[in-house]
Amino acid sequence: MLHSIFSWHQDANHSIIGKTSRYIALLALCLFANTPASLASTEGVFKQYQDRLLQIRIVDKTTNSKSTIGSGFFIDSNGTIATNYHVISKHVFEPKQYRIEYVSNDGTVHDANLLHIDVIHDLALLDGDAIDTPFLKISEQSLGKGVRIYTLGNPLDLGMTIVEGTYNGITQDTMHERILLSSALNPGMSGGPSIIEDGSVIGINVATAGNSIGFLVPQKFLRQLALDVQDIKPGNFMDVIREQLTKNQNKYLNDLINQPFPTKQLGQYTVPAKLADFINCWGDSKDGSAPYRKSNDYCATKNNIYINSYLNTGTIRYSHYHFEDKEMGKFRFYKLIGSYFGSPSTSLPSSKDDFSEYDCKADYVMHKSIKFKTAFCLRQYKKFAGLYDMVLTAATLNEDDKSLVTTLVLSGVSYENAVKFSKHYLGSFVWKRP
Amino acid sequence: MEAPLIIEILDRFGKVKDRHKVTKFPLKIGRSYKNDIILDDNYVSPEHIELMLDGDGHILATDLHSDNGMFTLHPLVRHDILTLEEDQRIRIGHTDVRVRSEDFDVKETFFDHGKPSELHLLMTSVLFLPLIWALTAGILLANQYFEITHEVHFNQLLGAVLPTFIIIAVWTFIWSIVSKIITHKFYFAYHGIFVGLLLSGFYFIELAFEYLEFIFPISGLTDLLIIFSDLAFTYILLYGHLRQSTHFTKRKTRISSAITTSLIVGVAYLIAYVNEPQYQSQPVYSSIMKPPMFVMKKAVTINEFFTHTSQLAGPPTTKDKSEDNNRDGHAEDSSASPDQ
Repeated sequence: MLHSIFSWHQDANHSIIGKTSRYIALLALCLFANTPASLASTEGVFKQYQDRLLQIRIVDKTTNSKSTIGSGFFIDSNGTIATNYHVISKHVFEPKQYRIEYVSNDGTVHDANLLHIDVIHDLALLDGDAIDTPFLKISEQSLGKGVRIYTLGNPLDLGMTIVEGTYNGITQDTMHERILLSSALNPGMSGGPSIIEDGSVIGINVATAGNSIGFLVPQKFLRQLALDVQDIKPGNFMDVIREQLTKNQNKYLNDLINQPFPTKQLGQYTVPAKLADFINCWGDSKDGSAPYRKSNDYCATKNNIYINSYLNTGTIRYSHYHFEDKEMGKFRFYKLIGSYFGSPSTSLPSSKDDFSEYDCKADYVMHKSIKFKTAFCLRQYKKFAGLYDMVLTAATLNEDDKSLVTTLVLSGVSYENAVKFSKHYLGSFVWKRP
Repeated sequence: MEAPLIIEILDRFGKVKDRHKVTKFPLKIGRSYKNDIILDDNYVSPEHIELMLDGDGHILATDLHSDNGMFTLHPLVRHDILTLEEDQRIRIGHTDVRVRSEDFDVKETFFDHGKPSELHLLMTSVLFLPLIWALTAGILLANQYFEITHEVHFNQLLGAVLPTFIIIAVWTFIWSIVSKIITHKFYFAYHGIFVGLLLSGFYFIELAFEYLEFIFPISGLTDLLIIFSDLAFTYILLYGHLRQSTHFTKRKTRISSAITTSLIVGVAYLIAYVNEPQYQSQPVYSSIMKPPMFVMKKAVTINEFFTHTSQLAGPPTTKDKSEDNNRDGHAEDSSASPDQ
């Protein structure tokens, strides 16, 4: 209570407050005489906007029971509903098996149709088939860190709830802009709105990173999607996903390729380092009882693009393993190198229905003074023509007792970009003769 | 007087049933007991043919008005009278008759009945056996040692080699038993030396194959050679053991070894094929690495490497297929050949 009172003075004039909360606030005023005469409260916000909130359900047509739940909200008076793409992805992939319905505040259940999706930012628009719906307007103002945010949704199917949190700016750490929120998001709240006191939406609940860290999709992407929906004709969403993925990988890969890769030293080698803010890198060394020394560097994108429960894409992952022989002798040492070279860890999803098998090419490649044994593998996305997963592995053959094994994994990229990125990647290695 | 001739009686499949040394002509052949050579064949007449010498020493065969006649083979032609060449077969009823001279060259004697060769003496020497098994153990240990990419413990090496040796011993013992039953001699040393030599050679070749891809730029060559060496080693192994433990002719040994080899290798490859995962979710390529000095193949530049990678991307998928979200469409996409 105390906390909420302190924050009231910020936006007190914009608040519209319900009766009960006014009563509680008056009580509070009796207790803290010096607080401003603002009547906003979490409860008030909830009362005010709860009729705009919906529970979204994906229902199995055969058993007629719900298979996924999430939250959503009206964004206009024509019954257009905003939610997360990942809430309704089952319907996108199997429209014959799953239908979408929503439960409004009064408990009535209605059918909804899918209007448009944005897989990159994890958004979807539904047609709620209703008129004169109360709705939440999309915010147009920019916020400062520390602004109070109310997150609404239906966590774990427990009923509509409200959670208070604090705006912590746009994260620099994700490939696609996300708002960082200090608040407790829970499963089921996905697709629900996060609003400021005047009731305008600043983001859509999308993910949580444990305790009090939540992520929102910034409202600007929702506004863009609401504009785009005019142009889309109902049809095959596989094509929409393919187009969005293709466009997206073109952008982020070309941004990376159009500059020299940042590099670092690993043994005698110069290797690609942390390529961008949205990539995380770790390092480790082992020098125990093993007859060799191993140092490795591992980098990966922090988040992927969710397509469905068994398919994530948009990954950039690369690792460097530097080996130094202590007592193995060159034959056994290169056996060891072969075992790392031959089984790169791709950590990619695999299913026969989604991907072809990998097709590989292996050869010896000379770059400046480095000799590599190199393998380049591709597999096709069966549902999204023109997109591939790529694995590039290379092991150096320069010295008898030292070798570097590097692996690059790109998922959901075009063939042209796979080759361009691989060339750039291999080209950035340098070996200094000891 | 002419040198005595030999009349061979054969069944229709060419197997000799009887041999008669004859010094006096004419002689009669038939089913009745009055004949010089009596044939127990219901298709032969009581008095079927008569053999006599003409003035030049040729043998004349005359059909004695038999019911089923007298024929030459290849082609089958009926004759009433015929001059018999040496080694020529004629058919009467279901029986063949052939004339051989005393000078007919018999085939070489089978191994254990004749005087053994020096190689054979060495191969059956009990002293040679431990030497060969030591060699086999050495090659197995070396093979194992180069496989281990962590700290080496002797127990571990021994543990890997010992089971193979037990199998070698059991295998040798089984073939010795077979030898004993058929030829009445164990030949334990021979079978042991033989399998030891073969296995050493096999492991040595397998090791050598790993270097091939570093020298020859032909992809798939190693796979082909491995299949070939599997066939060759199984064949030689079976041939060696069979030759020593049976009385088969060389030809028969060859044929039975070849048939058994193709069966064993065929079944082994079939099992491997069946056990292969239906969907390979990991990239597969040659992971063999050898020290830099062995890389004799010319390396390409980065750009050259990526010149021919477009075929990995598969044929351009038509839009319809990608839109059509059904299994048939997928099957076509995945089975598409990389040739464009």
